[in-house]
Amino acid sequence: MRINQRMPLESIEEALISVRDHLKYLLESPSSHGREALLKSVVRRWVPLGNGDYSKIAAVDGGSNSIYFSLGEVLFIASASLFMRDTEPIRARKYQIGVLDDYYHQIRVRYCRETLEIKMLMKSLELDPEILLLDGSMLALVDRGDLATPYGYRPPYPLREIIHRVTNYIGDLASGLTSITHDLRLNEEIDRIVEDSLLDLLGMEVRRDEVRRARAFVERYEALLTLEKLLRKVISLRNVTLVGISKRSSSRAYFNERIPDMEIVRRFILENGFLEPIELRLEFPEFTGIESSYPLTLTYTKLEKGSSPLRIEILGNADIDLVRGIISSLANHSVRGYPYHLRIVHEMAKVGVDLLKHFTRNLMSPLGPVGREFLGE
Amino acid sequence: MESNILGRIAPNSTPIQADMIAYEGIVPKIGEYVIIEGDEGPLLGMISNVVRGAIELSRGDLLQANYYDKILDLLGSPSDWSKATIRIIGGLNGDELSGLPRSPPPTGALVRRAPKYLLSKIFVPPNGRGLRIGKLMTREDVDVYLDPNELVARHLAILAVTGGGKSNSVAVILEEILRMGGVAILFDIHSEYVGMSFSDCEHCEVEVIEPVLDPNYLSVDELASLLNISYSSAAKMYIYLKKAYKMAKTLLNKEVLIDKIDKAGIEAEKDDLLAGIQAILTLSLEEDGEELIHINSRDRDSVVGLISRIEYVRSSYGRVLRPTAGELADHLNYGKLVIVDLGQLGSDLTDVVVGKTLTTILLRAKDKKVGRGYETFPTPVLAVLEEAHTLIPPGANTYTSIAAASIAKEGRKFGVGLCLVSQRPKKLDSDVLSQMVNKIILRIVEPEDQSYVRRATEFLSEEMISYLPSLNVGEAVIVGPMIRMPALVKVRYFSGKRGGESLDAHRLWSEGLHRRLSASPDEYYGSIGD
Repeated sequence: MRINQRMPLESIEEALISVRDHLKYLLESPSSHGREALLKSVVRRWVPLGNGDYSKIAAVDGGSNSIYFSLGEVLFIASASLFMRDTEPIRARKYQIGVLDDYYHQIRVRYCRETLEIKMLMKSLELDPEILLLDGSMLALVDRGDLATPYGYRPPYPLREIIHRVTNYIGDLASGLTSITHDLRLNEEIDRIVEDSLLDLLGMEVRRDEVRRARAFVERYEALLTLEKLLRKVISLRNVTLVGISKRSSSRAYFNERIPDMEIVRRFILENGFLEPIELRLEFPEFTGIESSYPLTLTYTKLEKGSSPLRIEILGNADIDLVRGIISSLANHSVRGYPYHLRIVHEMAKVGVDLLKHFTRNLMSPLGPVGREFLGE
Repeated sequence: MESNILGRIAPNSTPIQADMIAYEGIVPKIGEYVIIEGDEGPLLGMISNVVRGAIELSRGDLLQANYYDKILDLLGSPSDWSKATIRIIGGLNGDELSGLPRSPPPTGALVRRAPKYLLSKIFVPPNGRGLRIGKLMTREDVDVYLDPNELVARHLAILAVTGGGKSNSVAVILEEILRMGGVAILFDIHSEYVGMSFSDCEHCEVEVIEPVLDPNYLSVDELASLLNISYSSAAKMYIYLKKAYKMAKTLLNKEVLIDKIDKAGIEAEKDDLLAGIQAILTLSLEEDGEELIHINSRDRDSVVGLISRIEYVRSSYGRVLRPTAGELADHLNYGKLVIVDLGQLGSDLTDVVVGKTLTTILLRAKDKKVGRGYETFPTPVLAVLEEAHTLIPPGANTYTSIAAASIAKEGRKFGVGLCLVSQRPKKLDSDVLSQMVNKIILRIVEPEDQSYVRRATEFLSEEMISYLPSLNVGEAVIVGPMIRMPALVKVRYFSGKRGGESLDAHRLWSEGLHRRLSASPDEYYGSIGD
């Protein structure tokens, strides 16, 4: 046998055919019996919209992007934007620019963006909105899997001690409009505090990636601390409702079926309306030391007939009338089934890679080689 | 920001065209002249197209207007953007226009509205004396002048749909020419201009004359055309006409033609050449008559037919055919417009009258130039032909088209300019139209007319053509050497009195109805002849 015939040279079709049956099983709808029951359940719980009376709706979204700055470092820009229609349109936007190690940089840029968004939400309370829209899920903000390294998920040292030392140095992390732990001016000092803490806690120098991981936890802590401050503030105000809206979700918390709740709503419901809300609890990760928990109301909605579903989280225990009022108000301002406030802030916060390239090329020294040029990129 | 700043040049410019991104709140106008800061100095350009949009409403999935309502309800007003295409006209050396640049304008170059002083200078002929035709459409503070030298030398076509403003444009040009002491003759096919007069011009004179033809001045070919005879279609008739014509001229010179006319029993004036030809043919045909020309017995029928045609023409066109009436060209003079009222004439006779007159004007101008006489014949002269498509159709050798072609080719040398006016350009002979190098093109809707004009016009771009259907009455694209560069112009309103205005049907009907209701039935029906 010639050597070429002993080597695999598979086509994509062959690979697909070999797993076709398994794929089909994973993608198919529930069995006909289960499907009928599920359909009845969805239809029974589907509530029509009413008149929405809320008009002072503020929305906040964030954006971020990064680009290789030099080998081993990335430049990132994160942003948060705000829009509210009062007597006239009100717009706000804040950018944060920083440089990070290539290692873990994507998740760390996301923490920065989330911090910016939450701080902008906090700022938006000054406008006295009736509804405050957050792009995304509050649960997802706090309930995200932690950073994995060769050591596993749980670090072999108390994170709270590191956080304590950093906050002792910086002060209130939840203040201002930008991420303090991503501030370029504090970068070296925070690195030093984290490295010293690890040395003290473990009695030995640790690998550089472990320092970065510990640093990432500190950065995430800032976002969660700010979120907790926001939730507490909103609960205390009473005249504002914080609503998280997700376009995509793989959560199965509502129907507890094999396929995600959002997919069930997409397949079985055509008309506009929403599902009878259920209650959940939002609890912060243990490493933060934040012990307070908050009630959340969960529902799924279609703001227009035939539009894609949205997952809606409302802070607090909202009864069905309150939920109807909020969702109907959002429907009044929806375009193609999506609240237009969020569309505006999305466009305002967008950080395109072209913008980033333009920015680095024109305002900073030309980008150095990053290895991708071999691939013609 | 300076109020005249419009925007900046976008990438992918070329030496002849560039895109401009406008500043917020600026919406450029088509036809607007702009200055671009080029590498080698400022460039002059004209905006040839504008695209406008709104950032928030640019999504392709907003397929119902109520989405727009919701968005506008939140935003108040959308974020407008405008992008303009600029056609580069040339570089500017101080206030002087030079050729096209060799390199494109740089991306990001500032684009300003061209200042009034610059445009005012550009749109005046080099010698400072021009015909004030109107104002730039996009800059009503800038007057546009036409160069009269180039107008007469390179001829002019005025093209538009009915009601597009042709007659007003003709009147404005004639008025300006007369104010300069110029000479013009207008062939008025539909008697539109018979009441024309110029205000505030003491020396300006208008003479409306009936079309007359002195048969004695007609050549044999002109006579043949009048009789609808040609060598190719009626060779025998043509040959006998030629023989009789020659004989008639001989007898006329001997002053004995009247004797033959009397002998043949034809009622005519003393020196009527056409009647003389008829008499010669009649007498030669009679078996016992005088054989003034030899008629072959086989050709008798043809000669009888020829006599019949002459009789028909003399009886039908007797009002126009006037021996010793002289020629229309005799009426031309400086500071004077001669209007030939052709409204009552059929197309055949109109063709002969116009053709004959144009030929005479050209011949006299030639003679004057080479010193063969006619020293006082007024030149340069502009001949304006209304409804030109009826007399100069494509491919047909009408008498007028032959004369017009001669003027188009030779008129420049002898100071005879031709102005053709038409509402159906594609029904105009393309050779003649293409030699009308200057053009004033008002509103043209018909696509075939547009493409025909495009093919026949040297300076007309596709963008300019695209404006034609959307022009309002009196708005025109002017191209040709009589203007420094192609321009969109609002032709000024003729201040004098002219005919040809569109009728006001509502007013006329209202007045008529009022008359009917206020008169007794007997009076009314009596007045309209029952």
